[in-house]
Amino acid sequence: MSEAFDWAEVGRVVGVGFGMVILILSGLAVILEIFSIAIRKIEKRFGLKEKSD
Amino acid sequence: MDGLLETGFGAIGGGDVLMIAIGILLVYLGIAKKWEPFLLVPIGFSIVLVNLPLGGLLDTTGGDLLDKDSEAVGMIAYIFKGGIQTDLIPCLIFICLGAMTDFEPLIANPKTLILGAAAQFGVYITLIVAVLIGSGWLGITDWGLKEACTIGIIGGADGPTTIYLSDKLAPHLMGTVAMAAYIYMAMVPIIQPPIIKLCTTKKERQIYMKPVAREISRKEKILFPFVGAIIIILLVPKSAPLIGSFMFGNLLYISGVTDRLGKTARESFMDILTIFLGLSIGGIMTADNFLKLDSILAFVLGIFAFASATAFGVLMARLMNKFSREPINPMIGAAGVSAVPMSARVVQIMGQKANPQNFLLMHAMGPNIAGVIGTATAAGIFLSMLE
Repeated sequence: MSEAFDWAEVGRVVGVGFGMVILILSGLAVILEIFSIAIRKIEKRFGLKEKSD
Repeated sequence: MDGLLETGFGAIGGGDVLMIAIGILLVYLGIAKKWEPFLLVPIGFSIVLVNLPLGGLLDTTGGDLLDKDSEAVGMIAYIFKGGIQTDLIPCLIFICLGAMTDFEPLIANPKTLILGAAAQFGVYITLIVAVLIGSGWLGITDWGLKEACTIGIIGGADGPTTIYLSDKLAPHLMGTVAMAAYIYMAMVPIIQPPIIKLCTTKKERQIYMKPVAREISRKEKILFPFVGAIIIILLVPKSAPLIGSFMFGNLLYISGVTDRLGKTARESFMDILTIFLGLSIGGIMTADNFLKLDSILAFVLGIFAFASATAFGVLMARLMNKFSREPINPMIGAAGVSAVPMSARVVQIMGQKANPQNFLLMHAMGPNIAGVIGTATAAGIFLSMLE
């Protein structure tokens, strides 16, 4: 194994990088879920439901 | 006879001939097999052109074409330097892709975003393999972490992101990884089914999924590009060119008042960019750039990236099925690699074969779109960490 190779950096890029991808997309999923519930409640409360064509 | 030696016939070498044959093969695959013809035909013909000696299409002043300080002289060099090295073409293509994308399946079923994220593990596992082949262990090539990330991103099955990242991290591999990404995308119907079968049981492939029931209002569709762009760009600022372009394109499509702009982005603008992209990517595939061990290894690793991304998407869907109230057919995880919409179509076809009652296309479109967002995010994270 190459002594000069920085395996800690590889670990950081893989671990932190993949962790961030999972966190960001999961977070976005949660926010979307909350948004859709909020929008439906607002539409119901204020009667803003779009008329269908 | 001496006169003939002063023409291209005298200057052509074995490598040039081999590259011309590869170019013709790509054009053949595009025309005869209809594999990504919009890309393989321009890329293939461009490879033929630039490998004919003395044509000067790639001429520059002050250094190699891939050297950012050199200036373009030849026609393809101009397109490459102006469109690819400035990152303009990949980002503009993302506007067009956004204008082609309907986020409805994703908004209706947000948990499919997790499948798009899981498939990105294929990118990271390939990165580790590339490091092991390169400077990390075997030393077959001199690949470091930047080259490994560039090769890994092929697993995201997203051409523009692959080009964008390789230009920043490993421009010498750009031609190879771009061609690998597009060729493997064309081969999705061949690559994915055996992997999906390997990762699922027959019973799982038969799982019935109810049609996506929730209707998405126009307000939600308009809000999504804002929410997506703001959250992702705030967390990963380096993803702004790709994610921002993607969401902007989608807003043109969905706003209801910019139909003409959306239509232009989807159709004529996309076609123009595809011609430029094909010419410039084919243009850098000269014998000197491509016929090297590391290029060939990168090309081979690309298929591993693609296959592992598919497998991780399916395995995550299997896991989600165990905990979900509504049954999830694990095959939809395979669409977590981007390759929009080919991988979703593969899932639909396999789903119909396993259970004719099943219509998995819309269920698979969610992870499919999530895959595009996931790959662009992964690329932004690589840039944040390594650039």
